Amino acid sequence: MTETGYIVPDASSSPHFIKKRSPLLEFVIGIWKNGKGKVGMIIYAVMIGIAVFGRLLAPYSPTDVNFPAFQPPSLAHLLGTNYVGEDVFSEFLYGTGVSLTVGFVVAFATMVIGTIAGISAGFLGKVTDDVIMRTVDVLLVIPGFPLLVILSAYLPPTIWSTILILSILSWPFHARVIRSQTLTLKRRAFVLASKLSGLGNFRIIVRDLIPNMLPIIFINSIFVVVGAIVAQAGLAFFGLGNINSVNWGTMLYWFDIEDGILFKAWWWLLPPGLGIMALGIGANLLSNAVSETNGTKRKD
Amino acid sequence: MNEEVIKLENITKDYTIRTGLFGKPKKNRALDKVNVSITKGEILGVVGESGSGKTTLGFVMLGLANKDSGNIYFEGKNIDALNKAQIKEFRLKSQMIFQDPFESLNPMLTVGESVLTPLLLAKDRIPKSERMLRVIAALNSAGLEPGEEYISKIPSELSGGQRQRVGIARALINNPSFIVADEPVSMLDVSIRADLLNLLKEQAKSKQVSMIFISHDIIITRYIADKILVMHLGQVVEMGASKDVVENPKHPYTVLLIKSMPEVRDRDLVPIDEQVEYNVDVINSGSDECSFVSKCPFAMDICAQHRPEMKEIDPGHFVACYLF
Amino acid sequence: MTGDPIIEVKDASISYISRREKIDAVRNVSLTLEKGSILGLVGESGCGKSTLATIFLKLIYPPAHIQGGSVYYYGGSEKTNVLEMKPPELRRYRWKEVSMIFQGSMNSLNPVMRISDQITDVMIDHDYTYMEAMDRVDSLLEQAGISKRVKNLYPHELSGGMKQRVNIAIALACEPKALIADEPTTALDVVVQSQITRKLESLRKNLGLSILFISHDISLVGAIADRISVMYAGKIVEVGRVSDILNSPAHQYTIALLASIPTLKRVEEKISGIPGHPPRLNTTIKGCAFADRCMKVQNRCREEEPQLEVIEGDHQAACFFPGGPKR
Repeated sequence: MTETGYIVPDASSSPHFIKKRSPLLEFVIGIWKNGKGKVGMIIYAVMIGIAVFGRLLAPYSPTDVNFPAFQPPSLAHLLGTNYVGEDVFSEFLYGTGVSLTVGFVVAFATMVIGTIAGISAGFLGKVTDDVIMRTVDVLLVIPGFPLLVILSAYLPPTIWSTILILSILSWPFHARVIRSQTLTLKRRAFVLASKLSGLGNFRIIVRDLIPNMLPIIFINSIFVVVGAIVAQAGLAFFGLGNINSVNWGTMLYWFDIEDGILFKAWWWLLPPGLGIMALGIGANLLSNAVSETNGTKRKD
Repeated sequence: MNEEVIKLENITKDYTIRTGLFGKPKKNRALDKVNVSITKGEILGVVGESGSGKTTLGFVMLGLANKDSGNIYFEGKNIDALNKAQIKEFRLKSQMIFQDPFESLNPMLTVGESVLTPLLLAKDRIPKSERMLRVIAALNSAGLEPGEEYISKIPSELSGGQRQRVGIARALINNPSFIVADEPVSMLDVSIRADLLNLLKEQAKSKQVSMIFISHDIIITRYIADKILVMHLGQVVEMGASKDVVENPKHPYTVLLIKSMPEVRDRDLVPIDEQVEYNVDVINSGSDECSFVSKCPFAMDICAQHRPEMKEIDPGHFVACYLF
Repeated sequence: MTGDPIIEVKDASISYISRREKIDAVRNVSLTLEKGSILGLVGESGCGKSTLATIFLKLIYPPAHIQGGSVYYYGGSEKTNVLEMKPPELRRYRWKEVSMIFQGSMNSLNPVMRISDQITDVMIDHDYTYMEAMDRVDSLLEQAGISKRVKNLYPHELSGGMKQRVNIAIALACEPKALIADEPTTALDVVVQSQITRKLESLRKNLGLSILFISHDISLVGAIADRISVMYAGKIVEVGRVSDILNSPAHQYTIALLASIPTLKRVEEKISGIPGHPPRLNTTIKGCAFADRCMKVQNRCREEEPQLEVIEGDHQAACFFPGGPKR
């Protein structure tokens, strides 16, 4: 008998500890096991691979202008050359890195800021809620693209300015969604049970709220990846941002400016578009996989 | 052995509800000057229908919901005046068992982690190795044997009855002074209830844990509880030993509750007006009247003018009604 | 058997079929609802009673599939098999001959339609004219026991009990001869529950309505039904008059079920639950489905599947060793 009167079985019996689950690991494995999820993960793995290792795989430097211009795809130039003789394939490999960086950094910032803001607003309520939500309301009201254009004119034309603006514009939506998830979750019995057991707010958030919000956080974030890439490409297409940077957007910009269409240079136009499309499809597959694996765990 | 573990004195709690988009907000009195006390090792049944305030009572008792007025005493001390360390003690000594077995466990935690939760508050007192053993012991006494096998399971692998047992294990693991059991069996199959009710009763009695058993079913409450409190729209209308309240009900509402039980095939029911149903707006708006006045077949003028006091009409048997 | 049947189910089997498994939710069930009587169908969750409930109006959709059996409706002089009815015939049958109150139907009233519109909707769909329908609304509300002022309200303005009465009014709108009530009072307060069941009883008395009352609460069913069928693991394990079932239950499951419910009369006795849990119905079960949980199980129970046998008169049970200590 311990001092609290509890009869405890012989300590020499079972040596194992209370197994902890890792919701994150289970989440990832769940996606992998799902057919659609697997395809989505592969698409992203490939694109990320290109982004990271593109430089090493590229046969030429993308700014090398010693080749004949507007060449259709051939063995020497897998995706042909552009208006000034640069190898499109190398451009694509280098450019993917920049574009994806924008996507993932903005998504990461959105996820972190949005989740913290949303949970704080939902869980702490009252003044915190009001302050955060009014900020969210203001930011949501501002039209995104015009703001991007104006700010691009004022901020230094680097890719990081773009990332900054896109992050500021993306987190409010996510925060709102997370806030309503928090409001729903905090009423659930197991959260009350944790409160009754004396757990502090932070612990409850980390243990009870976030693991149960992984699906929505993930789905929102993956679409921010795609959205941010498209937004950046759009900006670059209009010539805002650094036009000398090599990314999907600038490829489209130069195509447009230099009348690639007159030369029917489809090999120059398609890669960025298809890249975005692949990421979009991948995002859809992944989010479908997430809703499938996390919706039906319960047997009633 | 007769110390009061929890005492509620004149507890009142109001909610404001909005009536439509432009309507004036109305007051809904969920608890109307409720007086309750429970002694060590006692099982107190709180019976009422939806809207009676019985669940709110449980929440307020545990500090999960705020009261608007009145005092709550835990082991003689007013909980408003507790300092941080005392609040921690309060949390260690009180627990709750929830109604919905599918909601009461975090789906992302193992059974072991869920049952461990109350121990986290006092983890400096309990060495890590002992914690796991306590979890196993708690699971065993909740009927989930062998406990070692259940530790790694996740809620989706368990049936409703098993999940409720996990909830019971969690509630008991810290050997609390009192537990609020909020309709712990109403969402379970009938044939599973019996074992869980027996478990609750046996654990409460053997460990001398005071239990507040909230239910809408007066018969199972009679089975498990020593005393019964009958509530209607936030007011306590009758209280006494469960045998007395059920076999000798005094308040017209209690009589109605019992006669509504299917097995009491009483054709000459207390003549409750069929119109009872129509009054959707019957809420306790805080005025000084008996909450049952609009539905009571014996209502008198005074019932709407002044709320009846609780009177002891038989030893230990209290009723709030002008008929007595 | 006294009384003529109005609905007769013979050897009905329904399974849920998915890529991964086949669940035999209803296995060779037969039951008879007599004209003007109330038959109670009692069983716990997972026994198949709600699946069975869908068969009467042929409301079975994939992944549920009818694997066999017939449901005979005795309308007028002939009997027709509901399961073989074609859509036009089904339209004439549903709601006009037999109607239904569904489980949890308090939440399936259309939130954006007024109550009177919802009731007339059903009638107009079944070839009443608008005028005829409007005329009937008042009397239907009265039959269901609701005040007429409810006509112009929306569902969210009504209490649970009132919504359920609206469902009863809708079910009675086209003057059916039989009503299938699937857990009509679950989630309602005790007093309201008693009012609704008494309302159903009076409908039986006044309109000669035949009712199949499905519930997990055997005491509730025992209070209003004439006969009870007990269902377990997809099969009917016992059937008989209410007094026989409640006072001298024959099947070990029924006996154990009744012993697990505290009653006012036996409140001093200790109740005990049934150990274990019902079998998963995705594999064929050898022998009696209750064998693993039965106090009186013998070898024969695991080898052979017991069929419904006569215990006495019209009391039948599917048990090799029926009966227990007299209550």
